[in-house]
Amino acid sequence: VSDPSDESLLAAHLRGDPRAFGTLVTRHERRIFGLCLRILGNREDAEDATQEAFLAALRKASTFRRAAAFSTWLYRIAVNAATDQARRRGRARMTTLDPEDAGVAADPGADLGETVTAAVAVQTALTKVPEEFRVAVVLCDLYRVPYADAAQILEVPVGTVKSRVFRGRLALAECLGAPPDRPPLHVPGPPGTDTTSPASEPTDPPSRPQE
Amino acid sequence: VPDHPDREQLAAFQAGDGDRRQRAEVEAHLAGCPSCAEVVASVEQARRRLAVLEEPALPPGLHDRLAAAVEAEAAQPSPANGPARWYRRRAAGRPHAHPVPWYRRPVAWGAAAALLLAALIVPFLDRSSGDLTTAGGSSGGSSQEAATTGGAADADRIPVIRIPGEVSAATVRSRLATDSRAKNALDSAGAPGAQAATPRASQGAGPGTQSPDQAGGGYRSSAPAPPAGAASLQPCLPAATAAAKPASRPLRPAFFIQGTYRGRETTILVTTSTGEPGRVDLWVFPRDNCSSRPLATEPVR
Repeated sequence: VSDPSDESLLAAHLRGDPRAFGTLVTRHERRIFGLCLRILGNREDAEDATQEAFLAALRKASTFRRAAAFSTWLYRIAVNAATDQARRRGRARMTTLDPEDAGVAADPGADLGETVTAAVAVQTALTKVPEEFRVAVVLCDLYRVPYADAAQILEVPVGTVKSRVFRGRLALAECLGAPPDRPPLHVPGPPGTDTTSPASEPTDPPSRPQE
Repeated sequence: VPDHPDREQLAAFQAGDGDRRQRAEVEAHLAGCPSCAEVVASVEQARRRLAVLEEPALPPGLHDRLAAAVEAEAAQPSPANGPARWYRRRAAGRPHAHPVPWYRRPVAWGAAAALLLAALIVPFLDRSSGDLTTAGGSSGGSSQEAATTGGAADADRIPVIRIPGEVSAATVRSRLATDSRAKNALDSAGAPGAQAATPRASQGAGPGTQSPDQAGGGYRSSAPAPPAGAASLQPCLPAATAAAKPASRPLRPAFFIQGTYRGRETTILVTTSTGEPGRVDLWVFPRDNCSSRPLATEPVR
């Protein structure tokens, strides 16, 4: 017996099954948390946004239409929750450098491994990419969401998604700033002091894609 | 060279769009245009470097928090719940199912317990407020010794300051403005001729490092020594140095802080930078445990 699909779980939930929504939470919580963490760059905000996303999904459950995949619908809600959270927080929160937040299993007692350091560097750089571009990069490059689905999630044309991903990668490359043949063995210095970063204003993209 | 393709065209090209003729045109342009080729190469490189990010684990406790939040939300007979009759039925079965703000939901009790714990700890920290001691409470020695002995003797030359309550860059900034001992430790660390620290062999904090007898009124022989002593602080400087960007290296250790950082018991190394004069950074570690990477870093100035 295969597990019920997300869509049928949501339908069961709407019919009054008290456990169906909980199953959906269990099934998607890690992905949604990861998505929020990549967008927001720190665990606390990501946890808050994850909670908001599932609560919003619960409130909007009856608006789900089978035309879209459940995951697409949920991603859209999660992206909105994450960007709302970013707006609420402003830029007050520092970028976290916790290796666990960089998504690399912490190995207690180990040296500052190159992989960990590189992951922290990439996550740190990612938080400096303007939000609009960062969201597109997180969806398409990290979560392997097809451009067409990302267009549905972001409610923009497919060409705009491609443009945002391209600009996001470009901004990321500028933030990382290492020569192509040498991966960085360091994390950038503390935030707010790196004057070499060309994209340090996440809320104000220097140039917008044509929409 | 004909007109450069614009970013939309390069984006489409990189996304694999376009018919054979269009792609051939862009390829031909890239072959003859180093600047466009560099843009495409760096974008491609960024895409590849993203691969180091793995899917993060679900933080402990988040599942329970979500379950509790969803449960509480489902119990509300709020109009926001819309046409989902299920909520209404469930809510009807629960007398007075008032909306529950998130901070009153059961999950908030963990946070409340943490606050209570903090409230219990702060008075203890307060007793030693302002104490300036040295890590491990070792006896004094000449700075020359500190510089030459190297190795295990290093961290116990670096003063340790206990700060009650939450420590932030602002706390440290005001401390440096008002606490002459902290300021002295910083000045000596940044002074010309102070021993530079390297990741491999960390060195003493330099001529101004305060031994207990130099620390004046701040030092009390009865002051409790840091629980884990100097040995546990030894790796802090190499760990911070490894995390610092090259321009900031070598770091010069000024002093340690023992305090709470974002609700967590931490040991914070305060450094100045040889590469960037005037720069002061905090490197935050779990309390008395510098064997891992810094939890966070923050510039003071």
